[in-house]
Amino acid sequence: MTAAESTRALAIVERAYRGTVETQFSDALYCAFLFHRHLGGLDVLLRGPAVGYAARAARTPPLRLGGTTFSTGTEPGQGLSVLLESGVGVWAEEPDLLAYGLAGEDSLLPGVRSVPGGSMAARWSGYRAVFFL
Amino acid sequence: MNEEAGQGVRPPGATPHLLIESQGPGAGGADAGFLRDARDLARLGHRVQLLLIQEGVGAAVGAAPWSAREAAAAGAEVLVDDFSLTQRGLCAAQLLPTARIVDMAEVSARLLEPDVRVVWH
Amino acid sequence: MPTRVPQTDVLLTVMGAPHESDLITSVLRLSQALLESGATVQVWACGYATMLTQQGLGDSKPRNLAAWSTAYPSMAAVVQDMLAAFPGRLHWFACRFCSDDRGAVAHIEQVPTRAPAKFAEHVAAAGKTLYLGVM
Repeated sequence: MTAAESTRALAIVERAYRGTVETQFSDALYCAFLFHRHLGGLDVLLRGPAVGYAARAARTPPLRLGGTTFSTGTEPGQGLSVLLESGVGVWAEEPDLLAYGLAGEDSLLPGVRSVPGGSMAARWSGYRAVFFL
Repeated sequence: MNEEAGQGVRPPGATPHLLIESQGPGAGGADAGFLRDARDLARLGHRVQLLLIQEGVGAAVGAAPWSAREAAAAGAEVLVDDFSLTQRGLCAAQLLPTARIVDMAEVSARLLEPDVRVVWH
Repeated sequence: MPTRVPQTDVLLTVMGAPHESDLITSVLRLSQALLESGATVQVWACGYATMLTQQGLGDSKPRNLAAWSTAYPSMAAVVQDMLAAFPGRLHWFACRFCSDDRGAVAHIEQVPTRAPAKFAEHVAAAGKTLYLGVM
């Protein structure tokens, strides 16, 4: 399938953890969810610190702020689960998984696939568009 | 370089420092300058605590090429923010052997000590 | 009536932008820990941190299409809640120049704006001043 035939886009997410309290659910992965729904399909590549989003053991602890418990902080694992359930392909680059302590077996959320560093570039021509998110 | 600095002998005028590194190597080209500052201050005989928070926790992960190892070797105490670690699904076993996990209560207590110079990067 | 400069243990000068990193989350976590330990705190917001306390944020974030009935508090509401929880011990100010420069012109009533020339008074009134993030 050529890029012209594919309606699917590739979103590369590198920067991460951008506003646990102020961003909450409306992060890059939520944007990816909306793009997937409205722009004809999306795949996501996680690089750099964003590979941490795919860590099976990751969670966002609730925070005590003022007199209340703040429990709606950004949960990237949930964001990825929504994407995977929606049919979005999610990959993470292996050198970054190693650098960020996630190279072990079963380190990643089910459905997230690892790829050798730089190998996704060979797939760019199969996407309608490639952009950073 | 003060040869005695890493052995518990503080020169006169040594200042305790709490250096807080929130940046990582993936943050748009941020280099390891602040980690080198921590190393150099420790070598000069100042008591240095280097707190790694947010993306900075990557410097305490044993496998990472961008590291707080040199600062630790120079005598800096490497502290790692518990919230940032949990967020990233990391645990103590993955950290530099001398790194210590801390919570904000401990950080705030250290920050409040009058003599401690606090610098956030 | 001129704004009174509170004497506090710590002044947190927040210059980094929200939504770019977990800086604001760290600021709030640190503030909470300081306040719970009995310390007093001022926050001085510069740059895009002035957007945190805008009236236009309302009480809650826009709806989450993937969790329609979940309530997500706005940053303005989070700050208001913290100020209410620690009356007289937590103070939040917005730099007037930065607010004007970025169109952050309608702060919640609990957050006074202060001219940059007054910043030195706030530094003098704090036991220790930290500078967090960059403009």
